Amino acid sequence: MNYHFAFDLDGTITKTEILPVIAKDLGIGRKMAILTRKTMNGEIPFDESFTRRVDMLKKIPISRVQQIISTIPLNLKLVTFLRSYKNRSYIVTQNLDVWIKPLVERIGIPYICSHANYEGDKLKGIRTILRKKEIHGKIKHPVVAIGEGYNDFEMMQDAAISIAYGGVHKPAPSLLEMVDYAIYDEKTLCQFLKQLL
Amino acid sequence: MSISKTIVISCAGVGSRLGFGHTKALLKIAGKPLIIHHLERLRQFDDVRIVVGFNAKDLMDVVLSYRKDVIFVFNHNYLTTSTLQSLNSGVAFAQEFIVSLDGDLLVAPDDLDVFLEEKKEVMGYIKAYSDEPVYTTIEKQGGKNYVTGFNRKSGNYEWTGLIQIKKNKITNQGKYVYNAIKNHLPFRAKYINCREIDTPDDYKKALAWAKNIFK
Repeated sequence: MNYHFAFDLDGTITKTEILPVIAKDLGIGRKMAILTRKTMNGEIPFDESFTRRVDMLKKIPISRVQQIISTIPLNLKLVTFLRSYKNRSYIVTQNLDVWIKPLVERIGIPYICSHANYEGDKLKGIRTILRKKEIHGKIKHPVVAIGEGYNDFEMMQDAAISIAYGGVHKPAPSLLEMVDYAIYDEKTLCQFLKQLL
Repeated sequence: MSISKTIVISCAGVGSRLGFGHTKALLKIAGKPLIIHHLERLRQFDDVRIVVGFNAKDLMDVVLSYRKDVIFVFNHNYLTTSTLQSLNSGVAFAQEFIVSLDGDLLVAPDDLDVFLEEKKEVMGYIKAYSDEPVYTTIEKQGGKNYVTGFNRKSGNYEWTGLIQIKKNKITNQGKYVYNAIKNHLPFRAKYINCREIDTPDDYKKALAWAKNIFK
């Protein structure tokens, strides 16, 4: 079967959630971490939470955010997999294009994300928030979806194979109610993905 | 580490006959959960899949406290499916050979170690002892034992549920694993010292048996 792979970014490819790391720059890292965790567990609607979180962070120049994001550690075995199969792998994130661009371009595979409203180096707000469900109209089928937060539920629901990844932190409990597989070790995840090739 | 075979441990069922309230793989035997006894024998395998359903979270927490490099396969329909469907989920994208090990089967460690070293297809049998066995007919062919038939009425030996088989022979036809294997007899057989736990009486007997085995 010629599967195409849709990977969540935060907490799946990155070794930590991205927004709390940016928030540290403003000294509000803890507040952001709590809000992010509640969102990943589906306790707060994503759109509402993301809008609040972007509002909290938009005073930081875009170039500074890009700089911070570029220092975030990645799961390198997964990145190697993505690069090896870049013609059938995608990063799917609700994070903003202007923030993540340098990071995802460095990884070097196609990405689908939310879009910002900005002027020069200043973020004005959110233009569109990606519905992860939409990827099924953009990525060739059958799709293997890999993620860990409640916001991945939609892309997993319509995927041929869904995998909850718990290598960075525990997957959202609601996700475990519907996925086909749960894997908590990066090497094991890569080994299994290769078995799907 | 070996990746030449996939180990599938089926732990999705409710185990209602035992009435324990947890999945049977969490039954404490000789001081530790049954699933840990399995995992201790599987250290050298790097494709271990655990099919979970009923009580999945508790089971996953126990497994993850021991090792993280396993794959949990979900059987969300555990209330309406049986062991064959669970095994069928576990064998998807597996190696050529799979070993099927039930989460409610307690196996003598030495016997399990020898079984896991097998390089060809083989299934485990034992002298009939349980309340509701799947009896096996054992015949000698060329000096080796083979299972040549299954029945639910009578016999001297029963199937243990333990089998090493090529994955393409596991098809979703029938309710139980032996229904799928029936089409592939005769099947090489190996005597395995073990106890399956289905009822409170089985559990009591297994505890007594384990005292001598897990010293």
